Amino acid sequence: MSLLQLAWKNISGNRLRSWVVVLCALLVAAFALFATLLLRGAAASLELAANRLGADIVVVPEGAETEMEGALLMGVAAQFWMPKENVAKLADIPGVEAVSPQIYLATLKNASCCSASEMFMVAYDPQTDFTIRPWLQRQQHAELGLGQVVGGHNIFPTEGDDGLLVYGDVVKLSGNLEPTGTGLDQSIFFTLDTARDIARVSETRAKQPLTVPEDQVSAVLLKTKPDTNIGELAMRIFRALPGVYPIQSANLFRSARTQLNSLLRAVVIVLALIWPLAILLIGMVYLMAANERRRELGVLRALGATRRFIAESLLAEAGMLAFCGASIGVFLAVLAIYLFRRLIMVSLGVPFLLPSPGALAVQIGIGLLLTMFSVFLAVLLPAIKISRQDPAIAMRE
Amino acid sequence: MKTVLGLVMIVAALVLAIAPAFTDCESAGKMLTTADGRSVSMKCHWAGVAEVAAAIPLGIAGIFALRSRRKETIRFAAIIGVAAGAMAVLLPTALIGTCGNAMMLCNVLMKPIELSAGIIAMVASAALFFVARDQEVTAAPAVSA
Repeated sequence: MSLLQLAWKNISGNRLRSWVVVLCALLVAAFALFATLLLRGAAASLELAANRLGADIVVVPEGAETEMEGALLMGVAAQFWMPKENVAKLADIPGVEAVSPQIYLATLKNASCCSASEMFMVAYDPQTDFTIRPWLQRQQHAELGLGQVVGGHNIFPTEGDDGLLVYGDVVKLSGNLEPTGTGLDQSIFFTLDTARDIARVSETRAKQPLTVPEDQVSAVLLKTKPDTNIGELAMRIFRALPGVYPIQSANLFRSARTQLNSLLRAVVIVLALIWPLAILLIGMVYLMAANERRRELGVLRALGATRRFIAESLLAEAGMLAFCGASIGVFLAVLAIYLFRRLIMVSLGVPFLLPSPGALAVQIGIGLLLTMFSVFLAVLLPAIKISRQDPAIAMRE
Repeated sequence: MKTVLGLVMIVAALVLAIAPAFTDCESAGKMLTTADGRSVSMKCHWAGVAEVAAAIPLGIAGIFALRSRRKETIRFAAIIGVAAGAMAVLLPTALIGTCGNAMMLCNVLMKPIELSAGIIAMVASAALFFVARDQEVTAAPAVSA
């Protein structure tokens, strides 16, 4: 009988013990992988969203900072306004290289004149824009014309092959951007001219007309000159323009970063409890098994099995169970994170981006190895102990 | 093992049939308002209703897996289970679909629940197919008078 055959016989011989080990391995693998994927996905998403914004400072009306973050991170529709004259005033401040206004709009709630309910929409000025056009160029999208929009990763056409219904106006979905895991994935982007065109059409075709004030904007995005101290510039803007709040890109998504840090602490605490407990439980199970099977293993020794063979048979048995439990755990963790990622985003208030297949495979591999190592660690002591027993004494007892 | 897998199939069928009633957009009071002011159910509601059609054969297959001792019957139940699980996955994704906005309740809650129940039903049914090899009962020897 080979080593693996003996291990398999022992596994099927005591199903309760085998299930306990499988469950412990499943728990460790599932929790460790789930937590890793979640934390790394959230951090990657925050990073990507901040990079995609492409501005050093975002100026919003005072009090609209949280709404702005909610819109960019979670796609929560937001509308706020400040005078358009602020754009020129900001451009005149020393240290500012470029300014570009944006208007934030939202589709109507549950209205048949809109393809999606309460969808966040960003209108930009193509003449001055330095944030959205680079994404379009990077993904080989053409410049957006009148009546054309580009959607986040989760936007798909609902009217014909490439149409979207916005306030009763059918706009052409020219393409989709790469996923960020944030609210930008369920938002659409178009030029200010398209926004005004939709507003014009909405007066006759929408349940409620869209208002795009000529003399107002929602936010102004700023690019600073090289070697400019961004913090000092933000202070200058705050003092020079009453009623606005400049958000530095480094401070953007501060609430989400705080949330992520507290999540990380909680995960570390739970993992610090689960991991040693699982190792302890598996170790105890195998210690009991080693005592139960003393006579059987004594017979094996008397028949010529070496100490090494006895220890290896226990380790092989534990390895098979650990692999089985860890594989199920990894499958469940990936399934849960893939299917329930939006629920996690909404519940925890953090964005989330799925890793690339390569990164996922690496993380799965690490998860499996960590679990197998944990189980080996737990079984090592009982395996050494039982292999050192004298066969004659073991059989007599 | 056959009992556990049969129970998993029945639980998955119950989840498929019941969960949409509490997790689609209509359960949160969201309905589509047409131009003439009428309120109509959204796409996700009908996807949820259609899931019952997948849940019924899955539940029946689960009961057969629990009660039957014949290998052929269990294997047939397993095939039905895989098909019903696949149907449960396809309804909210490819066949009917859900609402357009990815952050709406149906996409956040209903669809993942239905997909996970469907996938688990498929995996359990596939496992049942292979486990069924060991379930055949040998006939009792004839007792001579």
